[in-house]
Amino acid sequence: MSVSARSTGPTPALLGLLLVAAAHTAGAQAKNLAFVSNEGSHDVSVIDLAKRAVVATIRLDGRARGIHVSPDNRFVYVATSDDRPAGESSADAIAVIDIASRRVVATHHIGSDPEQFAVTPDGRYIYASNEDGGTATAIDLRTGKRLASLVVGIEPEGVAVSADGRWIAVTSETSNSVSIIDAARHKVVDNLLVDLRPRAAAFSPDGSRLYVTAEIGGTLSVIDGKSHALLATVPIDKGNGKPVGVALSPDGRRIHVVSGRTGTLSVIDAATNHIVAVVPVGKRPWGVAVSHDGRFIYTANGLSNDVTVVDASTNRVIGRIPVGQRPWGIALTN
Amino acid sequence: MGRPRWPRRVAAAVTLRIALLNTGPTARSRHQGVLLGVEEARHAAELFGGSVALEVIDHADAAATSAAAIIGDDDEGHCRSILAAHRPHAPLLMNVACASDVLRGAACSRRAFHVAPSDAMLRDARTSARGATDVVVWNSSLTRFGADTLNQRFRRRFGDPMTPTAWTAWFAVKVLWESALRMKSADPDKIADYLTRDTTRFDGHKGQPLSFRISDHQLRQPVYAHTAAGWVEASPASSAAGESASPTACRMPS
Repeated sequence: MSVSARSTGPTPALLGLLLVAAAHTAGAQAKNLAFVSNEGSHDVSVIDLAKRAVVATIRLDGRARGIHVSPDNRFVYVATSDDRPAGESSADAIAVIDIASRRVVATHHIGSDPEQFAVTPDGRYIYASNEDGGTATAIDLRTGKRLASLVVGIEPEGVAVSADGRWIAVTSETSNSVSIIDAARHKVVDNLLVDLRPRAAAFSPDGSRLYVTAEIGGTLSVIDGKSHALLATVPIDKGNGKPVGVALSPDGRRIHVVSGRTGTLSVIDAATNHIVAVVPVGKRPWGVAVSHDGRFIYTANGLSNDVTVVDASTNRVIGRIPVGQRPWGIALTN
Repeated sequence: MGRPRWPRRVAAAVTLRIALLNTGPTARSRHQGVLLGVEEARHAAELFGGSVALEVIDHADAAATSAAAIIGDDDEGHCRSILAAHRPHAPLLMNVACASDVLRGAACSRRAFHVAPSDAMLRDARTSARGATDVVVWNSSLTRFGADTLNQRFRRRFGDPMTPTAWTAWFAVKVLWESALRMKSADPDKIADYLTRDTTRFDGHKGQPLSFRISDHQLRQPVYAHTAAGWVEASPASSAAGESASPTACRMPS
């Protein structure tokens, strides 16, 4: 296990001082924003959700994929990598964007080809999948130090953290598996098989369920959040959808799954696991996010280069926002 | 919607034994593909328990191997003689290099599973992709559906491009390991039972679930035709057709 880490930018102490100064003015500005990672144009589109328009574009060093906002709304973390999966390069990193200044203020190098990751609810740690290494890496965001590199399945991909921060789930595409990590011990404690080519994962807000999409299987796996037993496998778009992104409504009553092949958003009743609506949203949607008030669903559509806005009360498309090239993921401020 | 019976952990650890017939013109590629497959299966075994053993054999050793399956070579005669051996729990033959239609037809066997495309599939693909100069089951320049990561993984491991027979050999091992894991058994009869279920599917980095046709045990899969536009996917009718639309000379022996 390697514990070396390379982080660039201001020291954590200096970064803290800079950000405290900026925090007051940034607080209001940081509300109601969406950040979209654009894999093709190597940048992040900043969307003002009230205006439904891009208000800034932040350039990055590599293709941008996984993206999350810190729990305190101060940073956006973006996984970047070069175009060669094998071997680590300088572009393979988690870039830290300061929301107030809209600039990259630090980068964390956490192994080769980072794609998806999760930020723990206390904002202290990132867990990232290293696709060509068969590992998941944990880093301490305060120090930039790599805490653990854990063996998971082959071609690890999706990463999710439970709301209480206790469990991390990592999907692995080639081994069709999900590894469960005990966050307190930084240790893999369970593995389970799911359907073919698992991609994204998300816990329900109460932690009772873990949902995993399977792109080639065309299904959503429903997993018990505590026992980690597989409870059900739900076909998406009759098994033909190639589902990737998954996001829960804030109350946990709706599961939202986007499917690349069919270009649809499937809305699933979490109580029954039945699909209640299928909404055409755009070409190859992979990223999906739900507003914190639960009123809107946003999808990042990789081949139509836009974000679709869906009214959650009617499941109808109410807007489209052009962004950069090949949008991949989307993350919202609180 | 059901509750799949896939194991979280293999209670009684599965030990899967695979034999590789390491002869013929594609021996090097097949050996590399099998090695990558075995290494990945061993990685998965770290998570789920169990183990994978590989023995490299000559044709003369095939009758005596205790392996659950033999990864075959390019020689149709070798395939036939392996399938002619009758004994309890005889190994499966994973055909990764013989395109002969006869092996899927008059000489078909319950113990043979054909990862290599048949001559009929390759003919279909050439017909459907007009102007095709070559038709293959895999190419090292493929990028979609995770093909790039597999190709990079192979090149990083061996310093060589992943050839068509390297892919078929790698995929054969993946199929065997996943079947043993999901069946909680490395018994060749149980693996064969799993492979011939309607619901059994595999991911081969080709963008769609792959399965063995029950009537002749041919893997249904896209192949790739080289045209003026580069490598394009071709789904041969003889691969994709359903059971009723697929006349075959195969009469599976009971």
